[in-house]
Amino acid sequence: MKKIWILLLTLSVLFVGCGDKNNKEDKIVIKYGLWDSVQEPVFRDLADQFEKENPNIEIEIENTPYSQYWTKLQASSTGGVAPDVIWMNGPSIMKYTEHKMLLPLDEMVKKDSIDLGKYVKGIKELYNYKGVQYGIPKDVDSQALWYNKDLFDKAGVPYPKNDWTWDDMKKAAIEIQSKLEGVYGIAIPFYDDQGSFYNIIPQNDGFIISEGKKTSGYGNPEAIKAIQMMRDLIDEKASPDYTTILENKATEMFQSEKVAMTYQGSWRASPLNSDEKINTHIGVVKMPKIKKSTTVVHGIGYAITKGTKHPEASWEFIKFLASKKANDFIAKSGITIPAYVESQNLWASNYKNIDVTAHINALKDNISYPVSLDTAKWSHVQNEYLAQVWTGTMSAEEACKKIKVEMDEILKKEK
Amino acid sequence: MKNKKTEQAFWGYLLIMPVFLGLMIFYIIPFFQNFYFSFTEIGIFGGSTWVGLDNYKKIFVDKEFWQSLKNTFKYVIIAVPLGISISTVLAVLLNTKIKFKGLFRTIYFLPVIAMASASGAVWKWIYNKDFGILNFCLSFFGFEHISWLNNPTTSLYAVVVVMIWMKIGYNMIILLAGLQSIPKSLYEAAKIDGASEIRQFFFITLPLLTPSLFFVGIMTLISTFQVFDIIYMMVNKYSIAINESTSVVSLFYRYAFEFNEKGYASALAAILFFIIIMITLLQFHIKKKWVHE
Repeated sequence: MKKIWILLLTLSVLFVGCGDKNNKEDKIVIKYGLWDSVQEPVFRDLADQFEKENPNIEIEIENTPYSQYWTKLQASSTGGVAPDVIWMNGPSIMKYTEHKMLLPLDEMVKKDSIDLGKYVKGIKELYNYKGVQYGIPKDVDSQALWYNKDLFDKAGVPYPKNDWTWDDMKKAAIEIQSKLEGVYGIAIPFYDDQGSFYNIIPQNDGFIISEGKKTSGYGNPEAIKAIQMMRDLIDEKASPDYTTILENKATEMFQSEKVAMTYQGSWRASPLNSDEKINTHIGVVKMPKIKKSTTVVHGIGYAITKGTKHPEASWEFIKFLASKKANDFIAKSGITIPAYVESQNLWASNYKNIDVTAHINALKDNISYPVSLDTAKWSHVQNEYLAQVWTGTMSAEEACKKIKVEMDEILKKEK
Repeated sequence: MKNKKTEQAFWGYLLIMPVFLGLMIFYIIPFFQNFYFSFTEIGIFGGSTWVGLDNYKKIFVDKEFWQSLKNTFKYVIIAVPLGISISTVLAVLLNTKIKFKGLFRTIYFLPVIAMASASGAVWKWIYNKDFGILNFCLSFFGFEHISWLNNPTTSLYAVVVVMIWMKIGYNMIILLAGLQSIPKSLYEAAKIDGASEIRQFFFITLPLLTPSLFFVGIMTLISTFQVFDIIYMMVNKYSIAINESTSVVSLFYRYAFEFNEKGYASALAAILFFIIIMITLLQFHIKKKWVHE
């Protein structure tokens, strides 16, 4: 008998932990899912401001590391327990809309007369699926050319300018690489689509994926030419070879002053600005023009999950996050460039050591990060063949044509 | 009396319950589920449709699968015999009366405790083409810098070295225990009969070590067939050597978590399971021929 009591006691201890601590009564709790610990405090501040304005709503932030965010969101969406408001990204948006996991926002946008024209076009379009808006643009990443003034001075080469062409850039890179021992001209992160060929192909009037996501643009001569131009940088000794960039990473080579120029995303502004070894002699200009000076843009979108029990309150919160006030606050914190155009200049003023306005100016000509339903599948094919071009085991033309064939096949299956 | 017995049984079951439940939920049920899933196509947000043998048919014509299987067999054929021979030699040496024995045992065992991701990061630096210490040392002998990991002909071997390095410690400890259970009297008798150290090794140590070797062999073989983490850490997905180093489990990971084709991935896992079980059964079958009872 005594033993039974012990057993009951043990079991009761186990259940105490699961006690009901929900005494928030009539408050609506909105769960807000995001993946970035650097940004979390900024959003906690914003959530506090929102709670003050809306005393009946409480915001609970669920921060999941990026590596687990999507696995978790997939499982919680399946089980109907996903956070109410979430961060969405380009590679996943079509998957979630196609499977009806997100709430269409059109009606609410119209009701509250939110002007989506005030946000960066490429990001707005990224979250528009078959004419329906599923996400409100949060932020935007742009690419720009970063250069090391010291190395340019040492080689006696004039600094890059905003109206540089590709050939100007290549010429300067070759000159620096030939004059300075152990220093390379330019390191484009060849392994990073967003940091390299997703800009360079559109700059040469090519495209990655057609409108309507039906065919690949890799078969077109513009794309092949763009890939060839990148390969030429290595052949003509303007750039380190592919494995050197891959093993040492373009950013790290730039930070250790082994390379005079690099293409970098705007998210590097913060770490590079605070790198005391180099931040006294760094400049940033727009990427050199080929036919155009397009930058590919990617950015997060705020979305509402289908399973939410409080669609109105969730929308209120998104509306608040998308307002000028909140975007100014985000811009001043320096975490990311807001997708809200009017707030963008505030972002650049955060960086005292390096002038990063080129990242904002670059946004004037932007194009969305290319995605489809099965982005990961064709991006695998693309990476596999392009690696062979970068290492010189396959010609640009052959690789692009192979990508075209396999990518078209994958896209056909998506339908 | 009977009452006492049932009560004992009750407590027995109660105490094994946590482990049993854990095994059921995390290993045994998923194991059978995997077979079921391998005959289905799984939707991204749940729901599966029965597709019969389609996944298996697709695998047999998938060039990537055959390549990964070839790579996996290469990993096994190199890493298992080489790894076991090195750990046997080390175990024998560390079983003799040398100085700093404890220190050496610790050093050889350290990689086992280190996380694969940490080891992978360190080895990536060692193998680095421009600044790696390996190329730096080789350059004294006039060798040119090569990229060990991002080169289709060398990457698999570069990974194998790390795999062996990671497992030596664990195997060595088991073999050491095996060595210490060999009766001293056998060696004394052999010495009196005038047998040399080398003869002693081949006629006493090795035969009596076979049970430990058998265990170590099976465990290493299984874990090498399932190699994934170290490849994932060391060979970048943008590397030109990715096809030449992908193992079956790496391919499984790609399909399950990057491409979201969980049905196909389950079929890959099922095939790997059958390969491993066949080889393990074969090992048990030929056990009588070489393992000392």
